[in-house]
Amino acid sequence: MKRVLALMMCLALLTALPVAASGEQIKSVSIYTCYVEAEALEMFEQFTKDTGIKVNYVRLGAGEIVTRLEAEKENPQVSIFMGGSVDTHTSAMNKGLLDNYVSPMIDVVDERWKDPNQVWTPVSMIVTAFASNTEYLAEKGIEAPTSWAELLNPELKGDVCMAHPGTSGAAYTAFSGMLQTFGVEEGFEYMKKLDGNIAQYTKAGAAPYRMAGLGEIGVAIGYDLDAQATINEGYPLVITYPSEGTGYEVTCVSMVKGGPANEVEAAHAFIDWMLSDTCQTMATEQFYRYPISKNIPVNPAMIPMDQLNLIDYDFIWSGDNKVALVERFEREVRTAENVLK
Amino acid sequence: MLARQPGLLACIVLILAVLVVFCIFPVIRLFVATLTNEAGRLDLSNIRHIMEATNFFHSLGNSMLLGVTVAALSTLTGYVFAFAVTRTEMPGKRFFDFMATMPILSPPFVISLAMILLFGRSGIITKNLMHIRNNNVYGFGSLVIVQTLALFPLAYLNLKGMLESIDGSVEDASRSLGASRWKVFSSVTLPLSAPGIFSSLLIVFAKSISDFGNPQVLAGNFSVLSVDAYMQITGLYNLKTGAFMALSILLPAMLAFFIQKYWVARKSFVTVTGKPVGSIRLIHEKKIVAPLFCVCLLVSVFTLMLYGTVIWVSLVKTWGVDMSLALKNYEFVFKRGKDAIGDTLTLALIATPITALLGLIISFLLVRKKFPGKKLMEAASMIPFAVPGIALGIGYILSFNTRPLLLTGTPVIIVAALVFRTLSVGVEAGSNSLRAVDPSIEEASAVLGANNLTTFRRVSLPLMRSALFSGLLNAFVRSMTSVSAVIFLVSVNWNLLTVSIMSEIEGSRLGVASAYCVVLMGIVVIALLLMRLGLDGKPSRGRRRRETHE
Amino acid sequence: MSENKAVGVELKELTKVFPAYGTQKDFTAVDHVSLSARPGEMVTLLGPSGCGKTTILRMISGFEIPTSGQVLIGGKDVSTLPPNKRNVGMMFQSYALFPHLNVFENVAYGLRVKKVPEQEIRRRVQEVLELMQISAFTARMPNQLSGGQQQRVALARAVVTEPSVLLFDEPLSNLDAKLREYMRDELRKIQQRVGITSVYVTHDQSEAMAISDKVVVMRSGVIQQVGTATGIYTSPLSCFVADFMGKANFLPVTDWNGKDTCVVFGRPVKAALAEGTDPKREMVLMARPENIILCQDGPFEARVENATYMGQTFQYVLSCQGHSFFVADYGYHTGGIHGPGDTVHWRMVEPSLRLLQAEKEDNDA
Repeated sequence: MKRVLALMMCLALLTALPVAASGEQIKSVSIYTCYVEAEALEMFEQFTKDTGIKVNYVRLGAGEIVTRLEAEKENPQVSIFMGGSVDTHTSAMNKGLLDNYVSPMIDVVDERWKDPNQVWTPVSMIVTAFASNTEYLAEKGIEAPTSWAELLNPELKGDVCMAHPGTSGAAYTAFSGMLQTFGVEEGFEYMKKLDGNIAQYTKAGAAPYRMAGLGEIGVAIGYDLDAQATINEGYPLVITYPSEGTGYEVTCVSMVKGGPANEVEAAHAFIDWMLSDTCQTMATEQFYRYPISKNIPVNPAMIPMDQLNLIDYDFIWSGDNKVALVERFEREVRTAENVLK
Repeated sequence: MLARQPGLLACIVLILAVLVVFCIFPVIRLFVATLTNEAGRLDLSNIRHIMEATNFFHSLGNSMLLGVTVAALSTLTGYVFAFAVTRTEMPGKRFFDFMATMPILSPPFVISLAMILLFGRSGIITKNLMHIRNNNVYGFGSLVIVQTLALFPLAYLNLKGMLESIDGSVEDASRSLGASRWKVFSSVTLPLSAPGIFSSLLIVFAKSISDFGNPQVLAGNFSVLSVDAYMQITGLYNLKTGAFMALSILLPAMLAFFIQKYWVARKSFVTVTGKPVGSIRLIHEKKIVAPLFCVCLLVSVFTLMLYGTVIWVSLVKTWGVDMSLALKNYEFVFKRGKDAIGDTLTLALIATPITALLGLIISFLLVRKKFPGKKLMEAASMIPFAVPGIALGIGYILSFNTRPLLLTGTPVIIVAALVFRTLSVGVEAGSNSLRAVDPSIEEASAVLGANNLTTFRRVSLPLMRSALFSGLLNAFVRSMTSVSAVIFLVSVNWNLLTVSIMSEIEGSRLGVASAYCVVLMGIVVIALLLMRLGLDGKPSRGRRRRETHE
Repeated sequence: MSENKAVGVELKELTKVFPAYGTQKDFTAVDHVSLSARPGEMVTLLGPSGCGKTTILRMISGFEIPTSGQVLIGGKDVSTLPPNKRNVGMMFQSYALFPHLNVFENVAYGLRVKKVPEQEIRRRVQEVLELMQISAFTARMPNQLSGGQQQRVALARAVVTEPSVLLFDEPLSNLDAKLREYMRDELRKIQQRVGITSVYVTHDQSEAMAISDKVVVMRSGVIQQVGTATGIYTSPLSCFVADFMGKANFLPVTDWNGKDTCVVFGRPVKAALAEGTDPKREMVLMARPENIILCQDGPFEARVENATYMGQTFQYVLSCQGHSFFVADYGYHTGGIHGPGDTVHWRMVEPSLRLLQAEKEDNDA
């Protein structure tokens, strides 16, 4: 019996040693990211190849990251907050969690996307889109919806899905974009009607596309890049955009205030790298993001931005009102009657 | 007397201090966070706001409904299994005993995952076998099934122990006085096992409302507090609201737990004398055994089917599109996941012996020694077990993010969460074991000149061997499968398998999630086998079970 | 309590074999046992642990099914009837009182099962509680009673249903010595008063002697001897029975005429011979400690090895020609006491002596 105990402690120590020993000598940077893990892995690998700096990361949801940062305020564990929309970074900035940084590479970015407060750095754009299962459409004999209004089609009852705007950045962007397109009061009226067609509100932003791909639902709402990724895996989806107005997210990267002092340089290097040609090309070619860099052309497989009816997304309004809007959503849209479907 | 044993005194003080810091302090911090505002003053406006603005009462009602339903069903199922195994000649008892305890070994989501795969909108059974389109697998019904399957082992173990310790001759007496089988059951067995039944109801209730992993995956629109608390924190960045919701689960759960511990347990009619109670007559009448057998078989087969599905799905290339078998998912798991696997194993292996040893020491102190602060020690060691994982996780973040207790981001905080969450199990096992040992054995050791440490080491500990091993195994399994307590504690350097599984499920990458689950279960099974070997197979049953027939 | 129409119990060639279990072989617990109890008789099964007496009891009560043979109660073959249909009353070693019922309910249990009307239940329970002298405790719970009180409740519960047979499974073994003596007398009184045929199992020979009409000595599943207590005590048929039923000395016999005379320690001694003894076997002389008298004119001589004061007697270990044996001296008040190393003279009370077959050393006791 004593032998077993001793054995366990040895085993534990043995596995712990390499973990403890490594990571101290090589330059590294620690990151919280809400990028999809597969994408994040590739980016980090490329970064390490290009700069020799190692990346330690945790993948969390955007909201989780903000809460973590807040909880760890007195002793921040990471240097970089990577991913997430402007609203999210603004929220974090307002809570005093971020540090300014202006990258020397910033000039590749168009003026309208830059942060007036010079805290966050934009690195890509992703757009609200619908994705419909082609087999489902064929069965029902309808066309893929190209507008918000078409989503109210009674044929689609119980077959539409989006994530919960409280937990998913993609869903919140779609929701906020829709409210900005129609106006808040009309937007909420619309949402209540749409709720009748909604199967459920998932937690993760990409989940609706998976469900559409599997044929569990007919139409999913979210970000275009997630839809594209699902199509690449072989699922039968077709992407369309809301014609009344398409919302979008500017994906950001920021420095965390008070992060590990020995990583500051590496963190700056990371942000700079995200604006580099290599990274921007990767982002659009492999992951279907709209590049933020003026120098890099959009992936030819994607619809060019000027062909989409992009609204003038008000990030500040969106960020400031998130809590109130989500709570109202919970109260008025996702009511008890609706919930017990 | 204590003053004359400085070593013992130091030990007690140290343990009390550790318990206060890691078990009581975080809970207090939760209360503080909820009840005060930014300036640190008492402020109930936040609570008022929560009750008005959110779905709070609705979720509260749902959580309670779920808890009560699952408690009832689990206890019933557990009783059927326990009775069948201890009182009848049902064939395949060892198989059913294993099936009834297996769900404890698996991570919380596996069953939920399988439900989706089998009964979801494009589920194997619903779509392909039964041709039901768009079956809504999410919601109350599925959640009840899943939680019952996951939690009835708790009831089973509890009730089995209870039934085994009922003096067999009382049932014989009833029989000799003319009672039929049913009368024996209804007038003797059932009343005598009542404390066990209440106990199970309360424990399962507490566990059900605290459950985070299953509702997260399967609840759909059926909102429950545990998930709401999580969403408050992750979606709305609202630590305070999250803390409040966690507290609202914590209070009923702890209440249930402590009622069970201090009131129901007292009412037990069974005297624990440790004396063999003679052979137990086994029921062989077909009309009793057959229905029991059917129920047990149904539950077992269903459970196996769920696990089998997860294994199958892990081997499928692209679920729903390309159903050919491939190891693609496992490749990903071992590439990206090897960090998580290694980290989880390391942390679990560190936490496990600490839990077991600490648990045994505490149980020794509680059962054999008298000292001021004893009740405090007992209650404190149980709190993290009774507290919902979410609440504990949040409490830990709040408590250990400032000096002097700066632990966030380090492995220490994860190990601490794992250790103290499972501590109570070790203490319980140790206490039961000790109570069956005659104290005069330890007195003999003292008289022969051994001090406390030596007596503990050379006399008590060996006698508690079986408790030590079951404690070790339990601690290890729980550490490996813990999710709600640690989900907030993972850091850049330390990842946990269960958290990885959860994010894969969220991203609907069910194939990868399944592969992770299989790997996790595999590790647990290997650990189980290793420990069985290490025990060199001597069951410490003090009772000769000569099974007799009527 | 109405006078019970007592019935007899008969066991015919009763056998119980437990099939091989794990590494053990088939175990014959009871081997072709035949015995009977007359109506109203108290029969005691006496023997060491593992001799099969409890198994026999359980076959009578129905908790074991015989491998072969029959159990007849009142002439009816009940061998395969379940226990709740046999109308036997049973007193368990651990009393087996229902811990969740009070005294009244415990005793009333069997009547309730039989659906006896409430009025009558109350009457009969009261009656039997008075008989056992525990009416004061009607409302108490079993854990509030002493051992002796619990026992009486158990007995009350067993007799109130007026069973045809009463079975006792070592009921007194959990009591302390004084209480045990008192209770066994009480049990006997009640059994005789109520007149139910009873089978009593015990390993304590003094108990068996005190209460039985008939004693059955058992060993390894086989009956060794049946008779009255007195009969067995004075005329044991084997060394085992002699030694089990009280203390016995076995003195070496150097010569024997095949009948009633033998030579012990060089002197001729007359002793009774057990029936059916094979004249070619080696013999020993059984002499009980109280039948060896220390007297100054005794023909034998011995050295005192040990002397113990027991209150009633002085107990000596004497050694004579290399053999040691016990003596219980009841007459020490007048005869004086001796200490270790003394030489004493002694004689034996010849009518009490028995010639028995020597038993081999490797017995499976």
